[in-house]
Amino acid sequence: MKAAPLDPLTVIVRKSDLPFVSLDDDLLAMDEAAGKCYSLNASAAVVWDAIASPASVHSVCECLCREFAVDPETCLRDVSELLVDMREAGLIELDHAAGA
Amino acid sequence: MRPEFYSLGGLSVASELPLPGYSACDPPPDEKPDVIIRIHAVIDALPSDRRGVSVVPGECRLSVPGVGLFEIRNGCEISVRPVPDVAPLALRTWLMGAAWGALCYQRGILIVHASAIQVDRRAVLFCAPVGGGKSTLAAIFNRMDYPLIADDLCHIDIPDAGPPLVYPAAPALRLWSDALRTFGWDTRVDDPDPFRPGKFRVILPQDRLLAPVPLGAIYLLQWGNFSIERLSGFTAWRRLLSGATYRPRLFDSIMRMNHYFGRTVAILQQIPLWELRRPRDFAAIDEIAGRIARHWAESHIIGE
Repeated sequence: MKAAPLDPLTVIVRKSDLPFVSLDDDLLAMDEAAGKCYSLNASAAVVWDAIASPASVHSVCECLCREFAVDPETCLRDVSELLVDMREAGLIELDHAAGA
Repeated sequence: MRPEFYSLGGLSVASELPLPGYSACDPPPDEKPDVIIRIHAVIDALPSDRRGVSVVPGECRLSVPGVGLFEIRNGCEISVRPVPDVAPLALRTWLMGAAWGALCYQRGILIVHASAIQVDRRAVLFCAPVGGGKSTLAAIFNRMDYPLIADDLCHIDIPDAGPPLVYPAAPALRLWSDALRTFGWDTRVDDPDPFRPGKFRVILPQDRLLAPVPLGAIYLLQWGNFSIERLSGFTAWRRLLSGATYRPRLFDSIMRMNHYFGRTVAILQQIPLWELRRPRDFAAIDEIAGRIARHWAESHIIGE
């Protein structure tokens, strides 16, 4: 079952300073210490660029809706899923209090 | 023992074991080569009856029953302790294969498990694990007058500017006897492969290449119905890692992943990676080679 969409006012903060490099449509980074290679596809790469400084879920969705043909409701659901994955991978933190 | 000097993968090498087929050169002006290969007295007993690798920072010990003990240190020295009565070819095969690979990994040099040919001033790489048919494909193209750059282990340098470069190695291939007969190369056989009965090293009828060749394309070889598919992004990187890594166990033990990542991404940002499937049918190999050659024209690997 998919998680509920995040509060659009939740603030996303990058937790990782790994240098990502672009390869075709993807962004890649290697964390040698953790033994992990991160791969962000085209839409995840737009999200990563949009949170270079802390940004709200709402503003990230606006970026994505400008880049891709997607309706706001679908976008919020997909972005929420992606952000939860990115948090579990240790790439970001989600500040829910900011939206409270 | 007075060493002989060679140029290999952009490195100057002083070797106490003669390396026939490799590119001999003058000693460096200061007599200080990048790599020294020393031969020590025979070793009566290896640490184990089984083949083994042990790695500590700066040193890799490779123990090969029936051959000897290889100690590779700091990317600049290989000490060889042969077992009594080992055949020189067996010793050279392990020295210039796994031991040399370990040394390259210690230095952070990118090597790939591939055969490389020169196509219109560009290097085309065919990557595959052992038995994947890369040498046979290189042999077919060599018969079509495409020079061989390297077989089995390819050194790739990534300069600050310009395309990656592939260093030429000895103009020799290891082929099965039926392939040698088909190509009419039976009389060119140099040495039998000491570890694979029925396989032989053959010196190719071509001039030795001296300068590194700019990389033009990489193919990952697979068996199946003929198809050529471009790989991109993370898929390309992951497939290059799994399909072109030379001796993965040594790689995992020694190579710094950050080095590998940086170098391979730099290559894939410039050079296309293709997955090439072709039937396991030796009788169809000329037709397969023709289709691959057409792909070079269609994908602008040649003619630019």
